[in-house]
Amino acid sequence: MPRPEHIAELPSPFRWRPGPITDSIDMEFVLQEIDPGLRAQVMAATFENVAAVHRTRAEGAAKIAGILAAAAKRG
Amino acid sequence: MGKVLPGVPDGPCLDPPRGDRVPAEVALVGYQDQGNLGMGYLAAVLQERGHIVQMIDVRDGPEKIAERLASRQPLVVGFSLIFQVFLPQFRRVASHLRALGVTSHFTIGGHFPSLCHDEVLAQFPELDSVVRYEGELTLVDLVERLNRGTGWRDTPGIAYLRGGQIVETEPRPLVQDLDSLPFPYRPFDPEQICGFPTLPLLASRGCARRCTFCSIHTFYRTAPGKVVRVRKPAKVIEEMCYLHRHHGVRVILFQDDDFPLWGRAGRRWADELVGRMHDAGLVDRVIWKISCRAEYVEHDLFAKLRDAGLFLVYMGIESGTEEGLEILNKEMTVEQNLEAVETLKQLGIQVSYGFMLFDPSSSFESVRENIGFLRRMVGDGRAAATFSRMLPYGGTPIRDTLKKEGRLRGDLTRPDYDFLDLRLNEYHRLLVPTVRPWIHKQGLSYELNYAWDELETVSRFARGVEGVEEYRAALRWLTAESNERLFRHLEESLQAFEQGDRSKLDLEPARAYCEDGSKRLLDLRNRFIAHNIDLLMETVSADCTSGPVMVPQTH
Repeated sequence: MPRPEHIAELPSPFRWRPGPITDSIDMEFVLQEIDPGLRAQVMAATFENVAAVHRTRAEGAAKIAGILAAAAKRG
Repeated sequence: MGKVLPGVPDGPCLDPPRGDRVPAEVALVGYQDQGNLGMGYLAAVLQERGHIVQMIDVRDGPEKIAERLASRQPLVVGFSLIFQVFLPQFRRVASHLRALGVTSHFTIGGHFPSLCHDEVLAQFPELDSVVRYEGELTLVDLVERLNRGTGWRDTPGIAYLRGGQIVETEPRPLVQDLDSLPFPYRPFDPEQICGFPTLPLLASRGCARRCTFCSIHTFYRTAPGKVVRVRKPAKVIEEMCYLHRHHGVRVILFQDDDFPLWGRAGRRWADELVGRMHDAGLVDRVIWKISCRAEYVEHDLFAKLRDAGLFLVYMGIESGTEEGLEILNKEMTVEQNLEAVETLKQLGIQVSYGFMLFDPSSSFESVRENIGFLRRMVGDGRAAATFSRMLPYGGTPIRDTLKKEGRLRGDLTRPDYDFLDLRLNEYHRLLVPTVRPWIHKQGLSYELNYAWDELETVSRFARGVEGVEEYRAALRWLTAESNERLFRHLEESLQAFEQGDRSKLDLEPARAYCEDGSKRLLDLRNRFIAHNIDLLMETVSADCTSGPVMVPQTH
């Protein structure tokens, strides 16, 4: 039988280092470890983009309105 | 224009590589867990075209990644996103790089960006484009257009924002001949299981089924071309030989969406693969794991696969109720799943499985039924009990259904839903912390399953190893005890909660039990390893560069 010190001094490749070797499909628990601060950053970016899209639409609509108004004046 | 990567049907093709072309620098950022075959394929195709590729692990963090990239300013930085929940982590890297003045073209690929490119572009303003569906040809095309300074916005297979509007270019067909791709680039040391190096490999891409919780089929069906593509057995064997000789690999993890054993064609393919493994002398030198549907598991076929080195099978069992399997569109029955597990146990092949204790159809009764199913499946201790809750990922049919039903909750980084019985939301919320001592990366169930995989690996390679049966019996006893403890915790807490008693949802007894179980496992395992250390060291250091294996492909 091995002496107890052998167990503590197993060569590096044989030390206990568990890790999944099957598909790590379940992300639920990883999900909980994500920094919550990042979510706020993502939400802010989302709203910035939504605002940018609406600004572009508003500018476009104003230009179209201007063109139509000018055309109407010309008759 | 000539085709450089053959096998692409009637789609846009690439200019042939020219000797006078200035190579582009590309950095690929992604997870390197179990290797990352997606990134490996992208890097190999870029390198084949003469470009310079750096592969970076996103877990290195923004500062370290910036150190490597800021001074080099690669032409393109490509982010490889596997799970949508990691999007903020990638974005943090991208915004840090932009803040440091990195002006490279930023693009992203993967299942979620492909299927939900509009959401990704909206939430990740640092991106210039999204590469949709299989990225090998599209990324090369994008890189070379940018390198030439010609318009990249017409690249087929991408999406981007222009003036706040989403632009999608024509979709690029899937790669029809997977053997036309070079072997994935693997510039890292393989992970090891008890000293035996392990790397992933693909024999096919695509899945013919339509499980409602999975985005794989929508990913492949939305792009033009045949959905399931299988490599030639000869080429798979060539890559196995290459991994064995050049990386010293002894354990190969086939990461196919669904290992291609379906029907008569699948059996013929498997017969040829196994025959070639024997011919190449790989059997006894290499063992392998597959992921497949339970319906493929049939005694004679799997006996043949086991004799050629198959030691572990992962199956998406997912539910222990007929209603759950129906909702998830698994096209399987409870009994079929149990039969497959039983066959694998009889054959001495280790079983691994995915199981969703909670899904959108769950009720207190179905959770109880699911626990009963798990007890039937692994109550004997042949594998540790694990489970999860189904999450409505982007691009999955069930997410659309939940949205229509008004039950979709959470956001991109935390997709969620309401159960039909709202009391179950509360039960689940309270339950999760109390099962973490088992169901977590460092949880007891995960440790036990790793111990099983390690034991199967060691006993396959190290002939003459002593105390295998004793260790196996002790491990089985400990696993059965741990499983039963978890099942009882679930059943008792469920019943008490229904009666308004929350006292059973207590973390402390679970933590104390699992800590003790972990210590007992470590003691058993270390004694077994220490007892056989000389033989193991000799087996692990066996020379992989010689031996009766085929000449590997050079590229």
